[in-house]
Amino acid sequence: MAGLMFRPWCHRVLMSLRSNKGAGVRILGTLAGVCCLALLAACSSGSGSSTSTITLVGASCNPTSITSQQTSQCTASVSGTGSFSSTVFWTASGGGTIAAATGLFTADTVPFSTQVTITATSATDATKSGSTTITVAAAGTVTGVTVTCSPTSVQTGQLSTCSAVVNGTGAFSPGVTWSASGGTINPISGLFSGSSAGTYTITATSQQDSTKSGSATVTVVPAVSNALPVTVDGGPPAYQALGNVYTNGAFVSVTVCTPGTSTCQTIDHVLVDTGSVGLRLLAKGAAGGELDPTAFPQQIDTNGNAISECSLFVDGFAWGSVSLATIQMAGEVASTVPTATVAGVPIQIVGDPRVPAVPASCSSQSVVDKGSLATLGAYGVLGLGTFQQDCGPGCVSTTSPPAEYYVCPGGACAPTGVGLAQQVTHPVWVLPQDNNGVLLQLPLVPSGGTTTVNGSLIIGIGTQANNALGSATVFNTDANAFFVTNYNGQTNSCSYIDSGSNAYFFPSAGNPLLVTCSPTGNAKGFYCPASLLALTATNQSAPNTNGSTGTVAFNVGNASTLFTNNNGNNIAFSELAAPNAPVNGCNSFDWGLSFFYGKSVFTAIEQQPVSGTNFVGPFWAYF
Amino acid sequence: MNRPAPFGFPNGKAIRLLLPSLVLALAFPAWASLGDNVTTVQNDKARMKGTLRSVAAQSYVTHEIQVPSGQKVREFVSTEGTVFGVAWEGPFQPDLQQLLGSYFEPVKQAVAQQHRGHGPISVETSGFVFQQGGHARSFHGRAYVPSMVPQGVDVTEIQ
Repeated sequence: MAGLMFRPWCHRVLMSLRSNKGAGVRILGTLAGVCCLALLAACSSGSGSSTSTITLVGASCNPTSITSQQTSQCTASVSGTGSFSSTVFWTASGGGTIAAATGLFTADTVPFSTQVTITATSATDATKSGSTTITVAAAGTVTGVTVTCSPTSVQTGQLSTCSAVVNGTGAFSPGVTWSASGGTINPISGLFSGSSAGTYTITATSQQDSTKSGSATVTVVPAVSNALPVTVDGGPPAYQALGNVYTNGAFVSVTVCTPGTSTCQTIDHVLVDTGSVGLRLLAKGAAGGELDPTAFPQQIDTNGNAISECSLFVDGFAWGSVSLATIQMAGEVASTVPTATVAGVPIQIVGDPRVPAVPASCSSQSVVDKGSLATLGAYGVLGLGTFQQDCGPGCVSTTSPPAEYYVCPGGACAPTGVGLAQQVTHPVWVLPQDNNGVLLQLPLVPSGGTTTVNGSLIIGIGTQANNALGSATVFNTDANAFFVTNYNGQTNSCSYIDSGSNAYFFPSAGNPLLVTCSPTGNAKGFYCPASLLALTATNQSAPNTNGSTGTVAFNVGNASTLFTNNNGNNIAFSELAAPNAPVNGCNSFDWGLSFFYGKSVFTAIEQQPVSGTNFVGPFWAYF
Repeated sequence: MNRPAPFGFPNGKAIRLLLPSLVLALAFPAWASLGDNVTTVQNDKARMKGTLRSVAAQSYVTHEIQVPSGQKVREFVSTEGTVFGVAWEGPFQPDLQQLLGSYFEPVKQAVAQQHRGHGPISVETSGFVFQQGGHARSFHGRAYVPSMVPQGVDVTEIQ
């Protein structure tokens, strides 16, 4: 019944359509279609147009060759039988616009000579159309193309981004097409990569004028072996022989060489520490280390004095020399510091007998001397944090306590300022490649802990196939290498991710279940909840950075129980946690090694970009 | 002849060498803070070459010393004049031997016995609380003597 109500209105539309010769045809045609849907049979039998037929539509334009922004008038010839309509709609395939009713084509400013197809379609029978072409020539002249690629040297499989500048006169086209003498290049974006070593020529050819091109070269070098095996194994045997065990310590072996020579020493059980910066190795002798310091020249200041260092950790200090070494980590070789005048990378040799005894202004800065195997629990610390140097601008001009760098002329040690290039330096930041950070990958450990964990320390972020950011959430840090963790309603604005901390260290924020262990028991200093706690916290980028947020689910077990499981042989725990002092405005959630199990955790160095992304260090990222 | 200058030779190097030991020698008898009398605040300020800012609360006064390196030290002094708590923050660690005074050695012993972790320190004994957090270039911590904290003062204010 509803259809009948439309009949008079529909009839008027159809009548009007037959008599129309203007721009309203398209709208009315649509209305007619609606009528047909409403009335179905009435439309075909009642329109009275069955006697008129379109047989042919032809199209022509004048002129057929124009330049950018010029016009060409197109006309249609319609043949048919009966009282057919000559009305057509005009369309163009691109390169300009055509008035649908009048057939006036106006060319765009095209980058290069373009052939445009112009089509006239019958208004009453869309199956009948005719086409012609117009050639639109580019305006202006291309005079040259300049190409730059960055970086100019990449490892196999890595991307170099090439860009072209097209020079010319008038309204010339900036478009280019990319090609390369080898490797793979995206013809549109200019992203290049090579799968085999060599030097490749990258060429950009003007799309408007193929006689104009420019080129640059990209060198592809073999990918450097960038993965070091990591073990969590309770610490050096000599440390365990003292009756100790290093819980949740991730260790690698590092080789150090006398600069410019092949005289090298490989030191095992060096702690992987994303919470500090620089390589520190324990000297042979009283300190109980493995390294013979005499193979490494000491860093000398402009007055000829050897520089010493009082390095500071959250739970102790370490005193020793600043010495120069070539550092090898897998196939990566750190041999020099940018702008430094001496060969070698500054490291600290803790307990180096060549320096005087620790000065009081150093030892009074902390309550633990980490200058021996018994207190350090490792043969060294590989600091891979977000800073380029261990101390940075704060140590360039410091000459009074508290301080980190010292000179000891005549055996009397006093604070001194040390330039950035002379400070103990991030060993990854100074690499010729893979120099933007590290990835630490550790497998899951079972609830209750395990005896050994094997993982990987991978140098570089987004530089090789094995260190892509993938689905990791990136959290930029602030200038002090902090981000924000919210736990139990408390904001911890001085939070950080630190493989060198051996547990989750965080304030209980009023959670009554997070009870501390007995101060006289086997797990003093940790949390000992009555049962396993499943907790969540939310991480956020530092304020005014990249605005990431992510929720972390983590478990806290009873440390006393963890330490006695498996007859006390377990040393790797994802459920180990400890209290952390709340400090006004700077509460900390320290995501220590417990956090790393079952994850890929990236630590990116300040000011270092990740190729192919918008991310720039300092940041942490994980998945 | 480029030999080392004899004792007392008036060049800059020799003077720089002498000064720190002189300062240490003068300051040494006054080294004490936690648990001591308020007069030590002035000593600390002088020794640290810092600026002093004092804020009075209901039952105690906070003295904050800031040194040019960015280090901040706060001493919490009761109305009776006892330093019942100290707190610090900055790119280095403060002179804890000076700040903790007679508690420095007991704190060292307690940390050696109780701090089994590798990371921020939180140690409590019947006599004192010592807590230390942060990481390289940004440390913070505090220590206090619970028995000396004035009645009604929340220990979370010591920070």
